[in-house]
Amino acid sequence: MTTNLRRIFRAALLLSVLTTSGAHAVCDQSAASTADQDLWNTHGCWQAFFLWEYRAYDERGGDWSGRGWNDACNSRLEYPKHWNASYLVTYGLLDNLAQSWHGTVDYRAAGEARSSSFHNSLYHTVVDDNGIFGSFSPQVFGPDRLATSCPLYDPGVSNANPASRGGDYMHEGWHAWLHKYGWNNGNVGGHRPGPQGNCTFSACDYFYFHGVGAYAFGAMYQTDGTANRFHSPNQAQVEYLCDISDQPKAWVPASVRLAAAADANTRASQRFINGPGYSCGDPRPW
Amino acid sequence: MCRGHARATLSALLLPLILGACTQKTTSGPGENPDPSQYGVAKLSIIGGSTDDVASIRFDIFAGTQLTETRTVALQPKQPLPDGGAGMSGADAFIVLRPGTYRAVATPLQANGTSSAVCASAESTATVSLGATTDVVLVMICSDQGTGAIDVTGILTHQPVLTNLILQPSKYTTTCERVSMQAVARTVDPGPLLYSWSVVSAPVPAGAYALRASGATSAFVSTAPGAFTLRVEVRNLAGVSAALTFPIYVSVGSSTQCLTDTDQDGVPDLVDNCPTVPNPGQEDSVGDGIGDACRGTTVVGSPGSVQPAGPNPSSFLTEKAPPALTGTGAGAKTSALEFLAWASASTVNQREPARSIIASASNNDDIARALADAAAEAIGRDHSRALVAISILGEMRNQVAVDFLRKVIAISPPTEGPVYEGENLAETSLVQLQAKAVDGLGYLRNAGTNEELLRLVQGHPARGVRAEAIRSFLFNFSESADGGTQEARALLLKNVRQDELIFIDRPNHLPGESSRTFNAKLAAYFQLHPELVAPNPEPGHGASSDAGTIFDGVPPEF
Repeated sequence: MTTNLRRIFRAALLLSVLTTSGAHAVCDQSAASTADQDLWNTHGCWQAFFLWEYRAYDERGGDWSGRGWNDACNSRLEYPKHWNASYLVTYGLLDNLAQSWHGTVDYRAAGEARSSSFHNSLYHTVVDDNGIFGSFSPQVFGPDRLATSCPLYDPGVSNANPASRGGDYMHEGWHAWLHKYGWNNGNVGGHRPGPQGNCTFSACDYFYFHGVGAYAFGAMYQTDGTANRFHSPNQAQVEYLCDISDQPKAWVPASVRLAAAADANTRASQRFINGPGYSCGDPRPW
Repeated sequence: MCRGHARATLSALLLPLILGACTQKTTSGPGENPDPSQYGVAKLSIIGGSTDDVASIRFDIFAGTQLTETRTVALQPKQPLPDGGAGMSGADAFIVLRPGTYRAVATPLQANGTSSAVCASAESTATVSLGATTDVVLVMICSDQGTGAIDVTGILTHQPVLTNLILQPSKYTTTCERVSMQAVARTVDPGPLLYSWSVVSAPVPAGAYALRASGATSAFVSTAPGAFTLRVEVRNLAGVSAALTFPIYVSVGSSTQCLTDTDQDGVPDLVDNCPTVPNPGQEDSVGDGIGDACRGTTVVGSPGSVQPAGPNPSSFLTEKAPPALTGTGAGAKTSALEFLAWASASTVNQREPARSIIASASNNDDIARALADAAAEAIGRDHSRALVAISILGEMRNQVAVDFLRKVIAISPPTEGPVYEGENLAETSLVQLQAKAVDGLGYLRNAGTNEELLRLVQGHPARGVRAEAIRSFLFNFSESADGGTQEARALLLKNVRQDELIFIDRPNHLPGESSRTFNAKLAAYFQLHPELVAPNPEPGHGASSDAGTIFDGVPPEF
């Protein structure tokens, strides 16, 4: 019986990737994940927000056509899923000075399009690709390009939830920070080669540990040029995910908080050369 | 002093009054949740010419002899009359009432709050029905002139409730004079309200006119005189709507050439919320009648610099009461699925109630089976649903549930599927579920599961699962045996891989933990593991050298 269950599990796990195998298959528009839908149900189709969001994240009709650009209330499509994640970034954090890693002001600046101390102007686009979460490409002319891809939108994949999607905005946004200030974070797509140290993958970061309260809200972009005050892309991502898990507004649904903690902890244990640092979320099952 | 309603001869105050219906109460304050379907809306208006000593109008609504509502409204100067007369002043009030027959009295007041010495009160009787709005226009006489008039129009309201309609300067206007309109609505449901505005009827033949709408605000202008009927509809997310139709009377003004469109966006300047920057959509995220395109130069060309509209709908979320987690057979399945949906959406404040309910179902194997089936069905299709289901199963401390968790933990990592930076995405999804299953296994807190956790620490193929097994062991072992942390560490040291020793010492950042407590744990961790300190970052060759690089991207195939 166990063998049969294993077969079923394995087949189900691979369902989404096999049915759309190939790096450039289209994203799954058949459903929103439970975490996406749970968050969506707290706000519904808030017209004023998504009309703000497409400007705040500089999304263009040509990129998002057929993905909810003209159907922004259809939570199965990529653009509504994108603004659902932006909603979580914008409103979902408690901003607890005593317990949060960073504040909403930091995460918004890292993810949004506008030029700031965090990065130069960028725009958000979407790419049909099952092989990557997202990417950041500096441009010679015009705003830099932040692309998100199918694993952040396909409900069967672990990162297709609003917390992980927003976490990717932080990750790619931090590549933009490194670019703006000219830091070298490695030559493997902006990361260091792996596996090495505690990193088990081929693209790794250091975790530049800091205590809670080390950065005033709004000061996440600051660095003194040493490991004492610096961030890497995976670190910015994990800190955002842990803040969603541990310091969310009361209305953030359990499915979103659980997904945030799961993503943060698996990422923390496998992506950092110098080790996992800390875990977040409650080790109790519920 | 009110004598008839010969409107053409009056030198008076004309007081339009709209009456609406509600069956429960006239108003509701914060925290009250009346049934909106029981409400109607009422509007009273009064207009007149010679205002003399009048500063405001007090509208009193009587049900029989009982005063049910009082509203004092400042006098607005120079409201044109429907038939083109000018120089009239007036005031509007929008009042919610129970169904019934009312006597509406409009009393002109001086600036000091006492009754006017030269203008008399006007009154009218109006019947208000459930879900209907009655528009009553009163003409109030000053000195010895004048008359009175009642103008009743029916307007429907439903859930949500339109509680006010503000027309500036008024519903009496002249050609080429802009009327700004704002609808105010209320709903007990969470979520935003969507507004739509339209012209229902226009005089025949109609001249050119324009209506610009943007959310709850709109503007109207006409180049030709006549009576127009406009409509505003407000709709909640469930599609339930309320609508209000209302007249606008346009008389001949000084100009009839006013539909210039400077920015050529299809919206004439007079009603354009940003007449100099093309914005055919008339976006107004703040809802103040000023288009986003005109809100400084920060919007256009500098996206993201405008604050999103608020307050956000989630902050008004009403927590749903948890369903029971009981039953057998098919009933258990229904109950389990309902609970799963509730728990998934539950708030931070509902964590403990959820735990209590889950604990109460710990002896119910049918519930555990139903949740296990739901989890199995969701794996690979809806990851976050599977994660929630496995979390609940872990919290149950039920043998059927734990058997299922063991099966999840035992699934071999997939070898197919996309690999990103060395990470197999399907494997990561599985690892997250297995790690959560490990939390449930450890939560049984007995010698058998402790042994199982140690075996996982030693031999599970996924690093993420081994790491979680260490965390779960430390959390549950020390909970079960007071002061057992050192013993737990000793047991782990015998089983953990050499390159994963740091998982034993790493601190857990707990929800609600103070910065002082956590920072002390982090400092102790670094004392134990100085090798964890990262080297200083390295400067690159400058931002310009990054052009053409794709960070995190997969290079195109050559």
